[in-house]
Amino acid sequence: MFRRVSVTAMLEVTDLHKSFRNVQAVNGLSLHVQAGEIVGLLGPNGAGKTTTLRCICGILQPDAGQIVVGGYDLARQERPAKQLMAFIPEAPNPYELLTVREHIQFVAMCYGTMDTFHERIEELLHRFDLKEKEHALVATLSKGMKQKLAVACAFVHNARLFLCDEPLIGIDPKGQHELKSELQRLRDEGCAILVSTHQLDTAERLCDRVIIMQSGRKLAEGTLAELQAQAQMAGSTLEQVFLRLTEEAKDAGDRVSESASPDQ
Amino acid sequence: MRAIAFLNLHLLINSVRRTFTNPLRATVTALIVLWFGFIFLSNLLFSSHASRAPMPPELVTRYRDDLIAIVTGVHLLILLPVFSPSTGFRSVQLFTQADVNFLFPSPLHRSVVFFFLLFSRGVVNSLFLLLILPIMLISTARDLLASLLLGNRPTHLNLVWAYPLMYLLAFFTLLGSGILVVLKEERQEGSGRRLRWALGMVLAVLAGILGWHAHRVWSQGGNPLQAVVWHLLNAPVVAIPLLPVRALAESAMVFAGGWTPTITAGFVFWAGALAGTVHLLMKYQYLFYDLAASIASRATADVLRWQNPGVSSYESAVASAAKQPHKVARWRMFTTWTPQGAWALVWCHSLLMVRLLAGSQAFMAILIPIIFLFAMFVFAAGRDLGRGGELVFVLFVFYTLILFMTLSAQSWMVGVLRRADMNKSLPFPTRVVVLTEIAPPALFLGACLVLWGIVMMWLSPGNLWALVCHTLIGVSLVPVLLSVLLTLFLFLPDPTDYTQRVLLGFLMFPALLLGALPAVLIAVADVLLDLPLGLTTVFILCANAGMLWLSLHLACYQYTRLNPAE
Repeated sequence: MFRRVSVTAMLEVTDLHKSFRNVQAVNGLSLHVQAGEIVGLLGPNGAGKTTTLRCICGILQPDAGQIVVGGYDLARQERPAKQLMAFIPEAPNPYELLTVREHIQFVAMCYGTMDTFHERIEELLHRFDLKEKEHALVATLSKGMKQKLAVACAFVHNARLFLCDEPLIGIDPKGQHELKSELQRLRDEGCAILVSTHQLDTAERLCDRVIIMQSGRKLAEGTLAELQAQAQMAGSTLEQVFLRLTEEAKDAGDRVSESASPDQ
Repeated sequence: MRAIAFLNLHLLINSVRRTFTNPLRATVTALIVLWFGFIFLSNLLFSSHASRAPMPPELVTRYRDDLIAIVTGVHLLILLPVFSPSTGFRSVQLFTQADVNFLFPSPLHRSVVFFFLLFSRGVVNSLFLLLILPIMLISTARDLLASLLLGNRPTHLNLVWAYPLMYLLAFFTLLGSGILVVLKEERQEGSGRRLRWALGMVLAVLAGILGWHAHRVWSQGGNPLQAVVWHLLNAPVVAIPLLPVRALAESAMVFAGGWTPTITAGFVFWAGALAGTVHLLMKYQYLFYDLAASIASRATADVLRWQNPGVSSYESAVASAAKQPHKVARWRMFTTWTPQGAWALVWCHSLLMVRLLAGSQAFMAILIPIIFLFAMFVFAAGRDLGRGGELVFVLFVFYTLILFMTLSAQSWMVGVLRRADMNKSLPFPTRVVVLTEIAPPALFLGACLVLWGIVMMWLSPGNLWALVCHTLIGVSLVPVLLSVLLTLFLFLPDPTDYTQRVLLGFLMFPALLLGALPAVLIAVADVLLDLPLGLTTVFILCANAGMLWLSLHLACYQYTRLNPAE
C-alpha cells in the first residue's frame, strides 16, 4: 500500500521549520541518521531539540520541511512511518492510573503488536527491573522507575528508529548503564538512534556523530574529530568544543543584533 | 480504537480500585454509595402509586412554562462555557501529557484518537454530574416532580433517552465549535474574537429585550418574572434564537410533557450542527496533535486549579503576592522578630499568611462581612422581627459567615500540603507543626470575628451581652473548623484523583458541621432548658476546646502518614 521513497537513511530531515506564534523554535534544520548509527542532538536550553524530536515523531506538525522515516514520508505516509519509530520522552508523565503491565499492554495495542506481547512483556519487565512493580499503579512508582517504564514502552514494538529526549535523566547509575548498553545493542542490530542530551561526556562515549543546535539552527555536525577541527581545538573534549562553538555563535548573534539595533 | 477504549476503561477501574485501597476512604465512599442506593431502592419499592387529584389545566401550563424557562436558562449557562475556548477548554482535562508522549507518536489514526479523546474526556469530565443529576431526579422523585409540577403522573418514561442524546449532541457541537475557534486562532485566522463578540452581542440583545419587557410590566404593577417567561417562550425575536436550547429543556421534561415539535426541531438542529462542525474540523486534522499538545501543556496546571478551588485560590494568591513584592517585604515585624526553634515555624507560617493575604484580600475579608452584617441589621430592623427575632437572624448570618470564611481557608490548606515535605523533615513533633500551621489563619479569622463582633455591638447595643458571648463562641469555633478542614485535606490530599476530588467536595460542608456539632447541641440544650447565656458560653467554649483537641489529634495522625510524593 505504501511505497518507500528511498532507503539511504533511516531518518532524513530536510529544511525543517517550526514556530510557535512569534517564536521560531526550529529554523531550517536538516539532518540524517543512518541505520546502525547513534547521533547525538546537543544544544543549550531552548535550542529546539525537543521540538525537533516532537516534529519527527509526529506530535507536532512542521510549518515547512520534509521528514522521511525508513523511506516513508511522514506527512503523507504517517502510519507506516510511525510504526518504525519509538519515542522516549524527557518527562515521561505516564498514565498514573494504569498499572505497569497495563501501560505496556496499552502501548503494544497502539502499535498492534499484541500477538507477541505475552513473550515480550516478561522480557521487558525483567530487563528494566519492573517485574516487582508489574501490578502496581504507575502513580506509586518513583521518578526513575517511571522513566524506565517509558523506556520499556519504547521497546514493546520492533522499532527501527529510536528518538530519545534526555533518556537518562532520573535513572539510577545501573539503569543508565543498562540503557546505554541497550542503545549500543540496538545500533549493532542496525537500528538508528537520535538522542537529545545535555550529558556531554555520555554523548562523547555513546554517539557516533553529534549535531549541535542553537536557536533552532544547526551549528555544527560531525564526529568528535571533525568538531575539534571546526573549533580548532584538537585533543579537546566534546564539552570544551561545545562550549567554544556555542559561545562563538552567541557572540556572533549578539554582534548581529547590536549592529541591527536602531541605536547603532 | 480498541487501545483507547482499553485505556479509558482501565483508568476508570483503577481510579475506583485506588479509592478502596485506603480503608477510611473506602468506608466513606461505600457509605455515600449505600446512601444513594438506599434512596433509589426505597423510592422504587415504596413509591406511592395512588392517583393524585389533577391540577387545573391553566396551572399545569403555567408551571410547565416556568419550568421550561428555568431549565432553558440553566442550559444556556452550562453550555456557553463549553463553547468559549477561553473558559471551557482550560477547565476540562481533554488531553494529558501522557497522551502526547505515548498515544500521539503511535501509528493510530490521528482523527480517531483526537475525536475519541475529545468527546470521551469532555463528557466524562464535565458532564458526569450533570448526567447523573436528571437520572437521579427521575429515578428518585419522578412521581413527586410530576404531581407537584405538572399535576399528573409521568406518561412518557419510554422517551427519557431523548434528553441525554440531545444533550450529548449539543455538547459535542459546542465543544467541537470551540476547538474550531481555537484552531483558527492558532492559525491566526482571527475569527475567534469576532465570533465571541457576535455571540456576546446576541446574548446582550436578548437579555436587553427581556429586561425591557420585564421593566414595562413591573412599572404597570404586573409580575415581571411572568413577563420574562412569556417572552422567552413566545416572543419570536427571543424564542427563535433560543429554540435549540429550549428544545433541550423540553427534552429534559419529555417524561412528563411528551414529544413536542420543538424536540424534533432540536434534534434536527443539533445533529446538523454537529455534522457541520466535524466536517469543518476535518480540514484542520493535520493540526490536531499540535493543538492537543498545547492544551495538554497548559491543562496540567489549569486542571489542578479547576479540580480544587483551594488550589485555584492558592495559586491566584501566590500570583498576586508575587506581583507586589515591595509591599509585603517591608513588614517590620518580620525583620526585627527572628525567633529560633519551633517559633521559627510560627514566624515562617505567619509571614506566608501575611503575603498570601496580599493587603487587598485581607481588607475584603474584613470589610465585606461588615457591610453584609450591616445590611442584615437594616433588613432585620425593616422587617419588625422584634429584639429576639432580630438577634437570632443576625446571629444566623454571623455563624454562616464564619462557616464560609473557614471554607475560604482552603487555599491555606493547599499550602500546608505543599510544604509538608519540608516541614516533616524539621526536628519538631508533628503536633507542633500542625499547630503552627493552623495558628496563623485562626488568629487572622479570630481577629476578623472580633471586629465583626464590635460592629454588631455598635449596631445593636441592646444585645451587648449576647453579642459578646457569641463573638467568644465564634472565636473559639474558628480553630476547630480549621483543624477539621485540615484533617479532611490530609485525608484526601490528591487533587488530581477524580474520586478524591468528588469526596472532598462532598464531605467539606458536613465535616465542618460535624466540627461545630457539640456547640450546636449545647445551644439546643440551652434553648430547651433555658440556661443562663454565660453558663452556656462556658460549656460551649469547653466543648470547642475538646473538639479542637480531638481534631488536632486526628490531623496529626493523618499528617504523619501523609506522603507528599504520592
